[in-house]
Amino acid sequence: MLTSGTEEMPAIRFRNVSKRFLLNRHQDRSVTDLLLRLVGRSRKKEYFWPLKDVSFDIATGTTVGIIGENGSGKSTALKLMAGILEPTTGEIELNGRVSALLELGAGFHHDLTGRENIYLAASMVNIPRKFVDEHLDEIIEFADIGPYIDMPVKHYSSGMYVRLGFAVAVHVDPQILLVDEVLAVGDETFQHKCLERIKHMQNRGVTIVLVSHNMGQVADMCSHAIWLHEGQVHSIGPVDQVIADYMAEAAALEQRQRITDLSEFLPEIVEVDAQRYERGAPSPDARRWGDGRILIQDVRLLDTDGRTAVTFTPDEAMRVEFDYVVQRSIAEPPAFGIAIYRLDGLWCYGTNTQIDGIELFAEEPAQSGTVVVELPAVQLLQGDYTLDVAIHNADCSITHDYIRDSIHFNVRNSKSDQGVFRPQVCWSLISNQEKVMR
Amino acid sequence: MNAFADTVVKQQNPKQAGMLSRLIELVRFRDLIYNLVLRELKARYKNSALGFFWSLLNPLGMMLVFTVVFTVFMPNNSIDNFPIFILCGLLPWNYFNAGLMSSINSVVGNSNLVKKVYFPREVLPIATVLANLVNFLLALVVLFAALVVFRVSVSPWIWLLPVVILIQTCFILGLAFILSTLNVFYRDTMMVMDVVVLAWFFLTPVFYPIDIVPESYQLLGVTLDIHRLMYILNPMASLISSYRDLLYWGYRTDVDFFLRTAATSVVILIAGYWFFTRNSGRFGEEV
Repeated sequence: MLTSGTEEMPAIRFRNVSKRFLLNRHQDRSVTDLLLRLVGRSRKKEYFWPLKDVSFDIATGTTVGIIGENGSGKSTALKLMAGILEPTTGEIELNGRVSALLELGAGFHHDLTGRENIYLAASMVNIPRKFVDEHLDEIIEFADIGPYIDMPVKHYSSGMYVRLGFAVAVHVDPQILLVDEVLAVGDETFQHKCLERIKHMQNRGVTIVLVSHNMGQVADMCSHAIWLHEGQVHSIGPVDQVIADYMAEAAALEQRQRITDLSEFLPEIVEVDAQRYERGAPSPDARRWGDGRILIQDVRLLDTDGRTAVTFTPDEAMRVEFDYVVQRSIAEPPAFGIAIYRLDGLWCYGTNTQIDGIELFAEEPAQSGTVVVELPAVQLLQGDYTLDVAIHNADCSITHDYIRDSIHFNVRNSKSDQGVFRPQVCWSLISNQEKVMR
Repeated sequence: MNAFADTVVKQQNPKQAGMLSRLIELVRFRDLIYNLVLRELKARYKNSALGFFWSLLNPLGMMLVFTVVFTVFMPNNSIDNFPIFILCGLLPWNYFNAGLMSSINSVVGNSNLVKKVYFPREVLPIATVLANLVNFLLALVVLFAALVVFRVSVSPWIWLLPVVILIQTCFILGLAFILSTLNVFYRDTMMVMDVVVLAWFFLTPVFYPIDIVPESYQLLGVTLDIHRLMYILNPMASLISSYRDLLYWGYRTDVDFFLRTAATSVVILIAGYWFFTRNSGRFGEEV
């Protein structure tokens, strides 16, 4: 508990914090270089800035998630908070005792017993011996490793090691707890126990900073989130909002990436007819094929609000858009098609404008355009899926462009029904008794 | 639970944190130093059958080797009680050697800690040196036993011994701060020091009395007072001769000499600590 008068003070304050790393450090740190520097000839230094001018406050008693893609500076920020790294410029202020869970059992010595290591690890965060004496039983009980507590930790399984590490870290009565991805360890029972303990600490007013890639966990545990992007604060705010923005951005990014990948594969020109939606690929691992008279330029997956999306629920509407450009003159209006595969290869659905009896072009087809396919409900159940898109001639005997796996998406169930798809289901009961009565 | 829930405000800018606040922080971590010393001692003896008796057997064995070499192989030396003579030089030297060489690696060797846990980094070399001090004190037990066995009369100035040990510890700590820092940035430090310490050993009157070194030497027409140079340039020579004065010769040791060594050690300690704390902020990313 913080003493009174500090309540308005944030637990953690970053003021214009930047951190610089030397990239070619090892090359720089040699005696050869020292000699070169003595004669005034220094090698060129390359720097990397994992954090650039980052400012934020974390209020006392809140739980804040730090999210961002790999290399966005999350771990660096956490290490700065823990005091392991020092900022190159700017200031960091911490109000309260910090316990950092950067790696469970980091302070343990292999030759010492579990019990001895508890004292060692506690003294590393400056916990007096007396306090450990008082809480020793509690810690040992939490770790739940039985008689192993008096054995050297080198004989521990990785699970036991982690349990003991966690037990010490959460029992040293921190006011600020820093957690880096370590909650994903141990068996489920223990994970559950850890989460319970963290909830308990939240209730007691401990400030918690969590770095995680697991958005579900962040959403569950945190009230606020900080989204770091390339070393800078992209956004900061209530957890749901930041995560929603982050997921949308990540989805858009992934899709852009796929399209960039795609443009490197121009269709393999094949004379063979691609038979309807059977994967008439020239080779099993071909990603794109066709005669190239019409090319697909971009494929987009959108939700009802017209935003790029990758995650849908079975009831949600989905909108597929793809752009085409006519490369060489075509004799007849083309047919467009889509197919959905589950990632394990199960062919879930396929159709095209010919099958559905749709004429998209009333007159001469335009040189370029966008085809829109709307699904009022996805209807697929939980799983990861890919989408194929294709352009054929009118009777689908010639493939102009077929892109396999053009885009990935996934479906998260809103309820726990099983199988591949969700048809409309209505339940009712006709009781036998009623029949008799009648 | 509020027993130690003091509110800590850390201004994490290394240039602002003065040496005094670093010292206060260090004192707050005294439990850690204690535990780390314990850890080193336990880890050292845990896997050997004779455990901590090695601290006693090791100097005995060395005493035996040196005595055999210098009395059987080279019988024409005229030192009385050679085992005592050699122990008085060898034990402090071993303390110096082991303390220095193990502390050079104390930061780099604990990189898993330095990268994952925050604590004042200076506890690492301090704990290593103190663990070696404990070893040295145990070994002194052997020396005192030998004094009794060989019926050597101890000087009345023996109470100065703890002061000499303190001075030596300051000297070792100072060097340990400097060298463990250098080793983080230049791993060659370890290799270089291997050779330096070997040369240092022969330049220090450990297994020979200083009298066998010529008084003076002509270099480019300048007469050099070798004895004086040896003591001024080499605090270890002064320290070992202090140990010998007190334990072997039964002499009170010279005051000016004593004070000069003390001053040198304290200066090296302060300089070393300053150097260490100036650079320790970067250890987390360099190890």
